[in-house]
Amino acid sequence: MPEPCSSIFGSVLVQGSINESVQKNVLLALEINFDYSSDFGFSTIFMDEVSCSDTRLTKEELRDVIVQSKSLGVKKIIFSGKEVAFYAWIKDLILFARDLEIETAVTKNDYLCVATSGKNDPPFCSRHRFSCVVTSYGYVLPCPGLEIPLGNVRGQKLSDIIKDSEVLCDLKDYANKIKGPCRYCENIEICCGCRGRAYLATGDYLASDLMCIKNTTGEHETVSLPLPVDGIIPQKRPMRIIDTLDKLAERSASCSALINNDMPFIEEDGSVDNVAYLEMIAQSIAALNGFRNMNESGSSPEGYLLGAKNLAILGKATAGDRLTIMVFKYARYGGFGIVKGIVSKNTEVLARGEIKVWHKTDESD
Amino acid sequence: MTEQEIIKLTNQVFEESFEIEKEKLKPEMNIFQDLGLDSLDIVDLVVALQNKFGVKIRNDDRIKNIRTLGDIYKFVLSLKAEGASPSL
Ligand code: SF4
Ligand code: SF4
Repeated sequence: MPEPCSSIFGSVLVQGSINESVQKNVLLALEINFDYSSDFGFSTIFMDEVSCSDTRLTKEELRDVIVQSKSLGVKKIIFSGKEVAFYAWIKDLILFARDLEIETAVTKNDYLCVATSGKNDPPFCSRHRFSCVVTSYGYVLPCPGLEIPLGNVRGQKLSDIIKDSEVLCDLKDYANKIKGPCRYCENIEICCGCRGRAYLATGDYLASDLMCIKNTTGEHETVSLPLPVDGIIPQKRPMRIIDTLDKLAERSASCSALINNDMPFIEEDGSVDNVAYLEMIAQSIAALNGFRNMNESGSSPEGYLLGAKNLAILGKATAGDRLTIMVFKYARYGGFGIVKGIVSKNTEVLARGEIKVWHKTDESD
Repeated sequence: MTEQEIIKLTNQVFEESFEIEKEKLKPEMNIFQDLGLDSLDIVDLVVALQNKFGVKIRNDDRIKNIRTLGDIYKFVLSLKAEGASPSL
């Protein structure tokens, strides 16, 4: 009988220490998984610029992950995957972790990921509050069923990935961030729904878990992606260029725009003015922020576009084209942020660049 | 990393990211009044220093007190010293 994913860390966890790990933003446990592929699609487009993640981590790199996890407070590491028991070098890693006084366990495929199990029991899981998964390609996931890479240990320190992650920040603040009936459920303190199931079903890792048997009213209260951006960004037609928010990932989003002849940025020859690409990037990041804040006040924090740089125009869009705009919050300092963006038509990149934005925050007051 | 290396790499950041002539890059130069940066440039400066030195710079009160290029040298030196004995 397979175990659900929440039970894998067993007795190493007690509720008190989970709360402490959330408060201190550290980890209690880690899974190193050798089964995930290196392909997470759009979610890693900006990450891969720095992480060279098409090859597996070396033994030395994995040892470094173990050392880093120890300094982050990890008490138990699970080595998982079909082949873990076969390789001597993985056994060496296990011994290395034990030498650091980290409890270890090995599992082939004998625990069942709730997100894909097809069952509809309440998951009673909060793994992402105190642990994460590192894949053999270096990607860090919040939990095995929530396939949103938060970063890659090849280009970043594990502690920086954990501290910088907006996805983890939202998940740890689940009582205020979960949307819909799960938020009002009597079990919210110990459950909060399977985030993997919610993400698979709606594209929103904070949506209610519609698979849970207790969740009978969820469907009509749940917002799914792709979502029209009308209610989540301040711009109105004709200034609003983007149409829908399609995908969410770590500090990033993918949006769509259908270019119309009556838009203000259309030149006489029917092509899109270069400045419109920056506006699309700005509107897409506003859509990401607006969606994250939907639950709170219904609007995005006040923000301004301050400038652009490194804009490269590589192609032309014309009326009738459907464009994809991918954006990533690359850096932040105080209220200021730098957002990277890529605008493409099918697989052809038309423009890429960076915008500088300012958002009202406590620090910028 | 020696102090001289830190000074050299920090000066490179000002030359490459803000196009400031080498001759102006002296420790006593005020980065706002003499070198022409403004508050909007601080996020670019933070990113450029992170990339150049491989360090992570979070919201840090020490940055608010930076006035001169010499203050930046000292700030990077202290970051590097902290990096040698990583803390959470
Ligand atoms: S949230 Fe779901 S997929 Fe993730 S660990 Fe919990 S039960 Fe498993
Ligand atoms: S409704 Fe949501 S919070 Fe309640 S038991 Fe089901 S999954 Fe858990």
